[in-house]
Amino acid sequence: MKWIANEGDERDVVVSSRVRLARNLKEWYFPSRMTPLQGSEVYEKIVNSANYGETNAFKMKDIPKIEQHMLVEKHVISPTLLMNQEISGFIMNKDETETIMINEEDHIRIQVLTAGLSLQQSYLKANQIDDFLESHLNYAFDEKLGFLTACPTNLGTGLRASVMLHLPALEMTKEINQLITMLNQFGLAVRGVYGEGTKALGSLYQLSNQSTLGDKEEGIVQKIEQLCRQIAAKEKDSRKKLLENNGVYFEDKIYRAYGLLKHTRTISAEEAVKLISLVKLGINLGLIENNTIELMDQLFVQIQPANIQYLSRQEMTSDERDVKRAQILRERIK
Amino acid sequence: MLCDDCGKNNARLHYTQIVNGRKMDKHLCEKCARAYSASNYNMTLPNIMTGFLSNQVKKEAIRTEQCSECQLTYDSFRRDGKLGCEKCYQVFSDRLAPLLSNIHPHTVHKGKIPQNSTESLKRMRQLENLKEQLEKAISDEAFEEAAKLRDEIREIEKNGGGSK
Repeated sequence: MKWIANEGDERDVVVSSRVRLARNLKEWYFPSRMTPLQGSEVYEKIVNSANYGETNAFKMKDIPKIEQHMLVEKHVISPTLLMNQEISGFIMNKDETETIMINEEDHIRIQVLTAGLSLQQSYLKANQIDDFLESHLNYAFDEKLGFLTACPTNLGTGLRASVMLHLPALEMTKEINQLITMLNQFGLAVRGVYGEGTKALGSLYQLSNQSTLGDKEEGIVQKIEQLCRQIAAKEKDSRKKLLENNGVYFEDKIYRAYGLLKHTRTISAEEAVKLISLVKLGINLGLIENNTIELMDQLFVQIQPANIQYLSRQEMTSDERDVKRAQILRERIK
Repeated sequence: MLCDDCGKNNARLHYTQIVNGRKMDKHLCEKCARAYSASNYNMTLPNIMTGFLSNQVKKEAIRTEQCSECQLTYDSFRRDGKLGCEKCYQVFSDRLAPLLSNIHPHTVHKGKIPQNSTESLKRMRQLENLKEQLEKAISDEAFEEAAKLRDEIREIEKNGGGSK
């Protein structure tokens, strides 16, 4: 969660930026074809090559279930990493901004996650880690196809750059649909962070490059960053207009959400995400004071099921979690 | 007797066809008979069977096509979208080509290359970069810079580097 506490560019619209590089070792089968023995050899090989800076290595099978899911909810590791428990693991730095996932779909997945809009910086950092690993390891690479990955959708640069955006105003004005169509034409994929398909819970959207082959890394990252700046400007503009044009009705919506969160006694994750999203919008527009957008971004994650159980240090039923969730919200929101 | 099909010429050929136990007679002129036999040629049972089988065999061959290195079958890749090893990209290259051009707008890698790449690849990349810079310098009307870049490019090309 530490990454969320950091300051970042365009923070009132862009929650986080993430860069991921996929790599495989030469002369080893990709993880899905490896025997457990080969898997652990590759794990050791990568861990031994990654002793840069202050990092820790973890074998997935040594981590308790709740903690595993908590890390996924925090976006520090991917859900796929949990599928290969026998051979998978990860290396992570102290503030959880840099992760090297081992034996996920590919042998290596370097991930750099930062708050706000910082794709270019994140890429530079990921590139540095990549250079460091590569000085100790031989990668599977083809002159024409680039870095070879288990899935052809990651082929070439192995780069997936994604940005998490909070777009409540563009959603309320329905401009979002047009925006998504336009972004698809630009070769970008848009999906909800929570919830499937077009139903983006809490107005949180993830935007990422679809193609990984044929463009330079810097170009991919730059394009997304530029588009995000434009989207952020448009979102902020719409927020102001909504407030101007709908006045008391708009304010009412936000203050009701605020009131609910401050006094709820039991609440589902789904409802909580929707309400936090509205309160965050209220903070952005200066309607709600004494709370920060950083806190709201943290709450989006901390009210998720595994995070609540991790905090309580026990497994809980859905009903128990709803009560605990309400308590956390009442305590944290001022 | 006039031809059953065109009704103009005299019928010279007489076909008898038995389909599902029903007898059908056809009387045709030479011209129509040629067209008739051509259109019905593939419908004979042995041909239907062999056509069907060869298609099946072909499909079966694609499905069971296997990577010589990791033994992954193409069918397995089609099922879960994951290749088994670097060799798979060579073995299945024909089948992957249309797939790749569907996912990616360009199918030649232009990004980062490993530090331990071959010298010729490194030189080719260096040349591409310099040429890009040259184009930019020219469009910016930075002619001194452009001249410098041009000399650098010539120097590398003279030393046997680059295929372009």
